Amino acid sequence: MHRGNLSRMLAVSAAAIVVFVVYSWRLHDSPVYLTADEIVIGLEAHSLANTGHDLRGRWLPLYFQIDEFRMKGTTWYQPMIMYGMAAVLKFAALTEWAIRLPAVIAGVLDTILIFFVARAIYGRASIAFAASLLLFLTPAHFIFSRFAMDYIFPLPFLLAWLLALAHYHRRRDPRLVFVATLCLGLGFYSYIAAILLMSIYFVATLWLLWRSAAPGRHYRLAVAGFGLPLLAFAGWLASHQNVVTETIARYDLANPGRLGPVGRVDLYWDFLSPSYLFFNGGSEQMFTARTTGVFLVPMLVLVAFGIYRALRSRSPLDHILILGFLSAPGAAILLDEPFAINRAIEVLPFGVLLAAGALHHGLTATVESPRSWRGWLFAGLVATALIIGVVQWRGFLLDYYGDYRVRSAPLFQGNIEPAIQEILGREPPDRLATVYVAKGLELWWQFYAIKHHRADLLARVVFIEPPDIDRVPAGAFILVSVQSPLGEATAGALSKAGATTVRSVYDIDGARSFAVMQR
Amino acid sequence: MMGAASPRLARTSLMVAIIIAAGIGLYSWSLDRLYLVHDEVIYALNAHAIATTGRDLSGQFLPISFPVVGTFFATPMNIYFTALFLQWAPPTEVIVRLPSVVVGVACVGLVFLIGRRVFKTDALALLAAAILALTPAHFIHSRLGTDHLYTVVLMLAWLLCLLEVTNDRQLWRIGVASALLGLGVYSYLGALITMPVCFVITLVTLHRMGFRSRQPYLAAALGFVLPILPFLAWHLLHPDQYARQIQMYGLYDSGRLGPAAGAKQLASYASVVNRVSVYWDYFNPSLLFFAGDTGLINGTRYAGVFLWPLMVLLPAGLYRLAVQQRSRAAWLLVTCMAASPLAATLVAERYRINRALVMLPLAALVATAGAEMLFTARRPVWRAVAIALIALMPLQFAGFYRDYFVAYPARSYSWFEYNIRGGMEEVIARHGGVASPIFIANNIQWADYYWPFYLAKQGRQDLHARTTYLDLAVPGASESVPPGGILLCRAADVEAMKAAGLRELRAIIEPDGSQSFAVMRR
Repeated sequence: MHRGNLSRMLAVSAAAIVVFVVYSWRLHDSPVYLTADEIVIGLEAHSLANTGHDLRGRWLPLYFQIDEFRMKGTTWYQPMIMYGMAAVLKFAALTEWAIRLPAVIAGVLDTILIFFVARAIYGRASIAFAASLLLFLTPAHFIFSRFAMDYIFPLPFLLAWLLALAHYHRRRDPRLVFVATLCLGLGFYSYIAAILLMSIYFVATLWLLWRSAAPGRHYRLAVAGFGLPLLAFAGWLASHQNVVTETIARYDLANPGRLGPVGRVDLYWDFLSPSYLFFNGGSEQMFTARTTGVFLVPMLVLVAFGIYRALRSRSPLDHILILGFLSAPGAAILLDEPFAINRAIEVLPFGVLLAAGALHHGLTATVESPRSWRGWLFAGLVATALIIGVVQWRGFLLDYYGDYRVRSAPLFQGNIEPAIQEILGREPPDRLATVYVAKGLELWWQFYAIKHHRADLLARVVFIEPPDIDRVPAGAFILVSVQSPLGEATAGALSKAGATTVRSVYDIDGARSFAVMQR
Repeated sequence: MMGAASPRLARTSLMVAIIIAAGIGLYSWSLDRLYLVHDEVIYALNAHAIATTGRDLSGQFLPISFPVVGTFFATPMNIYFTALFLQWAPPTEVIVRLPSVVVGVACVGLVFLIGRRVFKTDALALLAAAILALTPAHFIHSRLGTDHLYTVVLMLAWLLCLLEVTNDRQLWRIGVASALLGLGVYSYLGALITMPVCFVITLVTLHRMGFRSRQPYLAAALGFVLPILPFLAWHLLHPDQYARQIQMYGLYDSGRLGPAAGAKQLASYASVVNRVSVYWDYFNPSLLFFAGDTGLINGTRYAGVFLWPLMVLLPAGLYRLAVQQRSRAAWLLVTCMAASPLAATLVAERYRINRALVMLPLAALVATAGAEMLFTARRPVWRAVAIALIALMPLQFAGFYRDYFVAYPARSYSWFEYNIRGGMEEVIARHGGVASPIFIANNIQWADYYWPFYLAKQGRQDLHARTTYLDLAVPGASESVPPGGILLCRAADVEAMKAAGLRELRAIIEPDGSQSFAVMRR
């Protein structure tokens, strides 16, 4: 192997390891607890890994039906995260760390892929490295690379598409356009928003072919690449004709009280707001620490200049970057959720690539006129941006592992594990007694029972509501949540029936969240 | 050369005259259709006082700053300009709003002249002028007797002067341009931000033109500073005014914090984040093209700030100027457009287009650049698109114009303080001599300003001495009204006044048929 390629491969590998270490550190407790989505995805993936069936007994389903949240209608989850997580759980036990690992891997893949994408577009390894670094340091990218949810899963496919497209643009090899749209077709299954966004990127691919005066065969290959993976979806849709209405009901899309067209324009504009992108990161505190924006502050100048540079460029790739950046909120504005970065995360790679373009422009100008004031200005700006970025990143990390865990705790479902462990400790496998758990905690019970290798308790559990109190025998342990109305009602009924609290469990912010009671 | 210049000058003069005539005709029709808002009344009273006595309402002789209500001080330009009109006519709705019509039309004329300088053709210059003339927000503010538009005309005059500068020996032209900015501090409070920003833009422009000697910069600085000196002197003599203005706009607690501490608070992270968000929202398409200003004084909610075709022409124009062209004019237009909401951003008021009116003519020029790009595109379809967009503008404006005069008064009367005019003019008409003392309920907000205005309008200032403001909430207050006395009260108080023995002479009705006030007599 050529020495240059070898050293580059080693550098990329080293970078991947660094990213992996940083992104996976304290994965088990940051985010502070598991969300309901993470629990249910973990259980589905665990079932898939062990039996090849989902929790409903369907063998290798294309989409996963989730009704456990009692929301309007049925929720259909995308398969990518399920199968990715199942692959991990084939070798690892069901733990917080294991179920969040696929997102970390996706994050690592993103930082590696964007290196190659930037190198293909801008032709400089230094700019490619800068792109990787910028994505690595992007707070939103870090946060979503640590959730066992599918928000971040479209990004590797999006970047793979861009990589193939960039190479196609240079070499006009039709196999590359097939690969590019194949990535889009596969990405279709990554996250629900990808259904719209991958389609937009497919249209952008066709537009690039048109701009390049590509022959008809290239168009056919593009369509084939995108269409082949979608055949499975078409077949599945034909046998699940209610899925459209169920999804509309799940997201309340048919509600006449929802935002009108002008309101959606407002919503879209908010997604491009600099204060949201570069300063406070949105309103959903589960997905933003609010001490930084979606991007770090120096990106404000880089992205703005990157957009200006891309507008002035004649390259269709640059125009696709702008299109990608501007279309990222496209799926999010269908829902009435302002500043929901989790639904518009595709903005991250496009923002970083535009910023890399700005750096490339500055570097090119510096190289062409090394002693001019522009060169010094560029160097000074880059150094300043780097210092500000590193300082801000450090502050973000310290907050993320510190105060943010406390601030965000109420948004998660609470510190249930110690409560479950209390019961597990009091109910050894040989005791064969029935355990009682308040309704609403089924998924958590299942998850932590499996995690602590107490699958025996899965058959010995009864889920109860207040009317069921009389069924609880004397001496039995009951797990209740005291932070939900149903749980509080159950705890109250138990207290009236003479049960006592043997252990109270508190969240990290000091709020009492669960109780283990004994009748 | 003189021979070639004369026909061109004549043609230009004729075009400007046509624009002014058309503008005055379009803008001045039925100026009294809407009631006066209290700001207009207060400015008009001060203007009338200046016109008749040379002093403002507080007795100050030819002041630079006018104390109006509470901590609010008004800038002088619109008051003195209105006073010029009131030298020749009594204060009426039409007369107090006519100065704004003149200023608004002047803006249209200046945009035409700037358009000729930028686009080099009369057709595109006319288009720019037409776009501004048909801009709903510009139409609305050209018919309000307030001060918001005065900064715009000075900014446009500055822009025109600056565009005419071709070499660094035209010091007088540079000085005049900057002097117009300096004069701007007397036009509107927001100009305290806008004009210094434009001054900085001036310096940068001179630098970009390659001027390396000191004279042009000195000329600019001198031109800017000299007109400001009286303003600075005034504030030195009235040191508490600054703190009260800060308090008025809620920038920081000026009672507790000094200027340095206040500036530090303004520069805090939370403050910056909020203001970045406000700034961004001034380019929100919802504001610009659909909903318009949040209030019903500065917008009708029938149309946005601009007409719909600018949804295409404005981005096209920005692309044309910022990306395709690199001329001085392009740079100036884009930079000024980007800076236009800064005054509104500082006070962190969202969607208040009256604080960013400088955006309007700049957008008209930028949109014209967009039209130029479409017209000069290779494919005929883009020329067709440009024609269709331009044709749509008068059609949409016609709908807006009709709504403005027909339905908008009924939607907006509460924002214009209700039909106080009807009530007060009825009281004046019904007044029956010395035996008819006049009482006005003091829960009619701003009545103490409207009453002197309508007395002056009707030439009945003598009635002011016979007027008492009555607090009807005090038990037995209605007993103060003697037989023959006239009371103007809110509709909500009518039944109580009837029970106290007064008779309703006239119900004062709003455009939607509801009653707001009543004129009653014992």
